[in-house]
Amino acid sequence: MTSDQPIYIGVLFSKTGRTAVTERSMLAATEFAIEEINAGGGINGRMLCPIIRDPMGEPSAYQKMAAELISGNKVRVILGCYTSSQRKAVLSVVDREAALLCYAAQYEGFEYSENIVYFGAVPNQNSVFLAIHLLRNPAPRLYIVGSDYVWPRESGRIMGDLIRSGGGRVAGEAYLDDMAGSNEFDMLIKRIRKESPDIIFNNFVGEANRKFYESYIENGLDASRMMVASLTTSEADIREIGASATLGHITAASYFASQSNSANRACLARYRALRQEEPCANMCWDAAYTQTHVVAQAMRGGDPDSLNSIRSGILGASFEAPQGVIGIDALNAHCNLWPKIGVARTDGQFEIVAETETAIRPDPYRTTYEFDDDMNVSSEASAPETLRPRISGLRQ
Amino acid sequence: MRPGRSEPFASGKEQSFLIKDLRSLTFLLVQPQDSDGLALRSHLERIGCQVQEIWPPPQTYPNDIDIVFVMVDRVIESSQTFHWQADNPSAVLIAVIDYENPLSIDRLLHMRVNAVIGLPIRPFGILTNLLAAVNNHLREQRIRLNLERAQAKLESCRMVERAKLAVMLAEGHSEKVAYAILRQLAMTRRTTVEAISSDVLARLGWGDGCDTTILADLHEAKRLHSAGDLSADGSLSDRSA
Repeated sequence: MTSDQPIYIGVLFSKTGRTAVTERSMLAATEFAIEEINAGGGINGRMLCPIIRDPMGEPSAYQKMAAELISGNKVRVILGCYTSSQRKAVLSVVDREAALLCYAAQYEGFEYSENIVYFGAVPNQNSVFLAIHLLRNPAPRLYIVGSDYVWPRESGRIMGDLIRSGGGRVAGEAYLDDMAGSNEFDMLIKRIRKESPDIIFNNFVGEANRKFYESYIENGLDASRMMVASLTTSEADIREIGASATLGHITAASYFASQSNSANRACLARYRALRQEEPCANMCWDAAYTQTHVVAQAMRGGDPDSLNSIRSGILGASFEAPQGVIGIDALNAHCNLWPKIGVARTDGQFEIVAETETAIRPDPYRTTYEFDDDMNVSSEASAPETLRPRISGLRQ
Repeated sequence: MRPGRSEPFASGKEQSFLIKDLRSLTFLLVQPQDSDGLALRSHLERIGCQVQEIWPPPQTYPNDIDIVFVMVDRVIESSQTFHWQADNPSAVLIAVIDYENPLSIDRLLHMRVNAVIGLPIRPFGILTNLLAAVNNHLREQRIRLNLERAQAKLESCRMVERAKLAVMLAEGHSEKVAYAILRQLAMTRRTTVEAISSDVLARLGWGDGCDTTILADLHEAKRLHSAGDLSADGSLSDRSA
């Protein structure tokens, strides 16, 4: 390989389909990061050249396009996927074809592959932090809802365990199919209203999330009566849903665009200057941006055409991300992240009311989620370090 | 919990070893220090398990080890011996293999491995394989214990039947009365009908050791029984339980 040839990198995000809102923001963040990398001299003089494909939300298309990118375009690294089913579809390809997928969404954990690096949160990061926050209400009654697939169900199970062990109760649990219409959401909200829980823990994703908040508003509910807590409702979702519907509800995430740290402010300013538009920054935007830079960093430090070199350059690395300085755990290939709690404002951004003092280590294979009497997450014999985030800045 | 949809794989009520208990288990990896060994160890640590390593294979295994992984083909290549009590294993045994020919399969079956993992190590599936193996092992242990209990029970029934028959023949009683006599004796001596039966058989010369018959006890019991004095106590010197 001569040193002036571009380095191709695969990008798989959907511009249309049920999860396009978030994926478009991930695509924008990826393109932005690549522009920054190339403006800064690329990979030791070689341009980083994205090959972007649009799988339109279909897992089978992610799989087919990943295979084409690897065998046809000879890419070593693919940045992409949002849902677990999309990731699983691509995993079967990268496992076989010796390529690396960088995955920028939070998911349910219980996965490790030598061919994936995970930049999103796993439940011991955001879920625990959110549960601690919810349990500041005395004995809260929770109604758990979500889309009917693996992530919402696992997320619901974990939150149920945390809330129950912390003295709260689960008033009900319901999952709706992706195809569910407004009518079914209306029936769901009416059923919840009858139970009158203190909090709805909402794990709807994509378009279903919009339908959920719409029905919620149509049924005359608001945050002062029945707060909605979510791990997925981000600034990108609120753009679609409308800020009036999400006002006062909370989200736990590793990043909010409203963060005041200088790394974030500078990043958003660079985005506006470079792309001449307002960034749709959210937790997935941050992770997509970060993973692109981390890959470039690893390529610069070793052989950019060797999968092994790139992978070992990523594992154990750290990067000053907009959310804070993140590190990639060398053992499990997930990231140390900075969970925060945000309350949605009228402008569609979040007021950050709680954040961790230190980055939380990922424990993707954690099976039990319980608080002990001192509100510590009960320790297991060899669980990596303490998993209880220390909270600071409760500025509510 | 799941409106409109029930659990697609319904199972019985049998108590399972659940994934949440996994981190309480102690693992021993019988393997040389190489890249395969490291890959296995790393994944078990990633899952959060407590892992120890040993090489060459030890003679015995401490009781606090719950699961043993053995790299079978490394043992053979290095002319070591893997000692294992296949009939009464102290732990779950999982073989890590890179050959699958008839001879090696035969060997694995003789070792009575609970699960098999192929080389090179591929993390996906290890966790599930592990939990299935632990559950199968525990179920086998439970079944084994139940079988032992059932066999002992059967043996005890046979003994009582024979003792009853002995009393019936010796004294000309009905089956019901014969049993009542044995039971009465057991109560007075504060022992089990089974122990009394064994004793009676031995004394009547029906057992293994042909002791002299002491029918006095029998007569005494019969007397008590016919007198309806079932609460009599201490009339016999032998108070041992």
